Formats: sequence, structure tokens, C-alpha cells
Amino acid sequence: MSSSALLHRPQRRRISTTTTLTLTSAERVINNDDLLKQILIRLPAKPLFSFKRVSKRWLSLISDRYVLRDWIPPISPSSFFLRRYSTPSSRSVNFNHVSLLPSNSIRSFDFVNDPNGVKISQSCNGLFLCSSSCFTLDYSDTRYYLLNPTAKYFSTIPRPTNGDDRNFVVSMNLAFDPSVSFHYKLVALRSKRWCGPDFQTAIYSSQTRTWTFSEVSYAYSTRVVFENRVFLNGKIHWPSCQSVRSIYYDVNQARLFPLPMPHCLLTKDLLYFAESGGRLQLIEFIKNCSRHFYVFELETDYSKWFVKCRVDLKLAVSAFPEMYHEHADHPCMGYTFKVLCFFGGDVEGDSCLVLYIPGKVISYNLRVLGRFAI
Amino acid sequence: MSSSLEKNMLILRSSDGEEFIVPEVVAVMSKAIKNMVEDECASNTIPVPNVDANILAMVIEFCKKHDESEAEAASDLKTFDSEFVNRGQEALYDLITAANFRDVKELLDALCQNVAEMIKGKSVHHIRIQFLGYQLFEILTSNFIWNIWCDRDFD
Repeated sequence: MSSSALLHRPQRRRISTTTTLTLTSAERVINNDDLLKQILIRLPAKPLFSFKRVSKRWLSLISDRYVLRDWIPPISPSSFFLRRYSTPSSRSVNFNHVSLLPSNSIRSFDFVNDPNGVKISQSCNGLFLCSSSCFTLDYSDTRYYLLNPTAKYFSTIPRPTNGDDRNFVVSMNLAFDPSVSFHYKLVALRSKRWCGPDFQTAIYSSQTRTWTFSEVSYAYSTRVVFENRVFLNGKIHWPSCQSVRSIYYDVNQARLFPLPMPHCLLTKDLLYFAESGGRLQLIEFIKNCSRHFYVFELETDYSKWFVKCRVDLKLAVSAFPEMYHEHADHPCMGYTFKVLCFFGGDVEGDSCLVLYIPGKVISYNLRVLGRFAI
Repeated sequence: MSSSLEKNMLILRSSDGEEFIVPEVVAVMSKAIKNMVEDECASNTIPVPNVDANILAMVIEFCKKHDESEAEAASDLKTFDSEFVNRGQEALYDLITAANFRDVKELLDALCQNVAEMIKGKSVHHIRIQFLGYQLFEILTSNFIWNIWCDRDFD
């Protein structure tokens, strides 16, 4: 039976005549499809889907595409995945996943049976793009996987080959926006060799399960950090080092556009490039140094970057002295931390940094210090 | 009485006959009343059927606060909202009905959020008893196969 038929099914006369007078206020609210929908879209995912069992009417509402479209996702994440191999030789396997909720269990990607283990290369709206080799290094036997960590589902992506000699994948990128479509796309940049002079794009769609190849070539810049990409609003953004220009790819227009950079960044290892609240953010760190840094944010019209906030980790250092080790050469050197995530709220003070310091993951707010031990 | 009324004031009459004098800017936060005012089909006294004096007073309190505090910090308003919606079950759901009927979006959002917070930890059984009490007999009889299938599949 279609959902609309269920929704508009007239109530049976037996009920409406005998019990109308005894309806409580709550029942009256819940009986209104619009109001019930307003309540349901504010529920977290887990209770929402378990409430499918309440009745047929709730099931049809919760399964309704138009209800799901308006669902309000939780503002704060429940856990983090770190870019590590699922089956590394080191002892820190547990480190792949940091949960911020006590109930969440540690997840691993053992369900992908790759002998080399898989490494997350990109996360995009709940899906992961994983590869069996490190970062953008691509070999003819590198396998690419698309992973749904919640459903423990994965699918193997065929290599983008169409018979020409562009066998090298410079960068594989995932574009998935469930508010637009439940189908994902992959964008591969193909080159003739590692750091070749130019590359062409190829698009894979989960709808057709085939690669579509583009004939247009783009000049290759080694300054673009291809392994650090962010998908946002239908565009894949890459930062760049030692250059004030970078590129982004518009998936709908299937074209590359220039992207400004705030200044000439020095090294890609010390770069934080991510998205929060629909905006792109960028932090550059100075090696082993200084608890001060700036968070840049890109204007929505892509014209320029502005300083979102200036961060001083003084409070964090006093609370967690293990962040700092005496350094002989320079007093401001010797800070050990890594920014995992930045959340920029609309209200000043809602901004929050998630930091990795030796042995711990902490969240750092301007006023509140929350601590999450691993 | 209506002649002595200031120009920008409206009288709202609840279902049980009580009258409230409110500034027009506050009253038009309800889209339903706004439409009536704009279409000029409202006389000075606007009847608000289905909403009793008690609930209407609460809705007006909410609208007044939101009207006054437009310039205030958003966080203050958030605190007010969370305290405002923290009420007994009966009043809460009556407010939702009123907010929906009168089309006061901010109030409806805050109230629905509160209900979602309240029910997100509840079991399916609890939800059925709370919200579908009158349907329980039907659910238990005509849908019993459905229940068996659900409980097996999801637990």
C-alpha cells in the first residue's frame, strides 16, 4: 500500500464515534499528521527509526520521503573516525574511532576483507571513501571502497579505465549529499603518471555504476593538496600549499574553478581544512610551536577568507600540562597537539575545537573545558 | 469600549469568553490572526475559538517575550523558550494544538522540540500507551501479526 493511501485513510467510524470525547490533549496532537511530523523530525536517528514499530501510521510517516527530507540532523557529532588503517601493524587499532557518547562501541572496518586493510581517504555526509593504499598514492592494484560505517555495508569501486594510458589516479573524491539525492558520485582525477603535466576527470555514479570520462585536460599543480578535500554544496574543494590559488570542482557543472587561499601556506602536514556549519574553515599551524593560531573562514561567495577567530590554548595547557614539554631552543616550542575538528557556531562562544593531545582527546571551548579520555 | 482602545491594540477573545488586549505587533505573530488583520476582516475583537483563556494567556506571554527581545541575545531567548515549554503534559499538548491552529511558528518549533526531547528515550510500548491509548485495542488485535514481525525484526 502506498504511503499516501495510508496517510489519508479515513479513521474507522467505530473509533471516532465512541472515543472522540475521551481523547487526551496528547492524543489529539499525535493524531495530527502535520504535528506528529514536526515532532518526529526533531528526534535523533535511533529513536526515530525504532518508533517505526509504534503503529502502521507512524511507520508510514517515518518512511515517508518528505518527512525524512525535513529531518533535522543532530548538531554535534557523536564520534570521530581517524584516518588510519583498519589492520595496521602498530598497536593502536583502537585509535581508529573516538566516541563522544558513552554508549557507542568502538567500530572497526574489519567487515571489509582487504588483506592490506583499508584507510579512510574521505568522509562525506555519513559515507566513507576508503582505499587500500596510503593517501593519494595510487598503484594499479589499489582498490577503492565506498563504506557505510553505520550499516556496515561496503561496495568495491571499479578502477576508472577506458583503455587510454591515463592509468594513474591522482585523486579519488566522493560527492554525496543525501538532501539532494541518495545516490553518490565519485570524481577521479586521472593522469598519465604520478605528477604528470595534466589530468582529466572521470565521474562514477552509483545510479548507473559506470564511469563517465571527460575529454578536457587540466594543468597539474603539485601545490594542490589532493588528499585533503572537502565536499560542500555540490563542490569538491582542495587546499593548496605555497600558492594563493587553489581549485574546486563543481560536480553539477562538471568543471574546475579557481579557489582563493588566505595566504601562501607552508606545509601540507600542518594544515587543517574542513567544513563546519556550511562554511569552509582553514587553520595553519607552525611546526611544534605556539599555542596561538587563527581560524580562517571562506566567504560564501568565494571571494576571500576572513579571520573567524583567534585561538589561544593557554587554558588547555594549564589544564593538561602534558601538552607542553620544555624545549631548550625556544620557549614557545614544545606544544604537542593536533586539531581534529573545529565547530564554529553562529553565536560567539559556541565555537569549539576538538584536540588530540598525548593520550587524550579533549574538546576546547572558550569557557568550558570538556574532557574525553580515549 | 472599543473606541477608547488605542489604535494598535487588538482584543482576542478566548473560547470561554475571556478577552485579552494585546498590541497588534504581538497578535500578528500568529499568522492566522495576521491574515485576518491584513484582509481587514477582523473587527476590534478577534475570536480565538478552540483556545481557552489559560492557554491563550500563555501563547500571548510567549509572543510578547519574542516581540520584545528581538534585539536581545539569542541565548537569552533560548533560555526563555526552554523554561516556557517546560510545563505539565496537558498544557504542553494544548499549547501545541493552539500554536498549530493559530500558526505561531516559533512557539510550535520550541514545543515540538520539547516533545521530541521527552520521547526520545522512551520505549515503543510507552509511546503506544501514552499516545495511542484509545487505539491500543485495535493495534493489539488487528495488527498483532504486524507486532510480532516488528518485535522480531528490530530487537
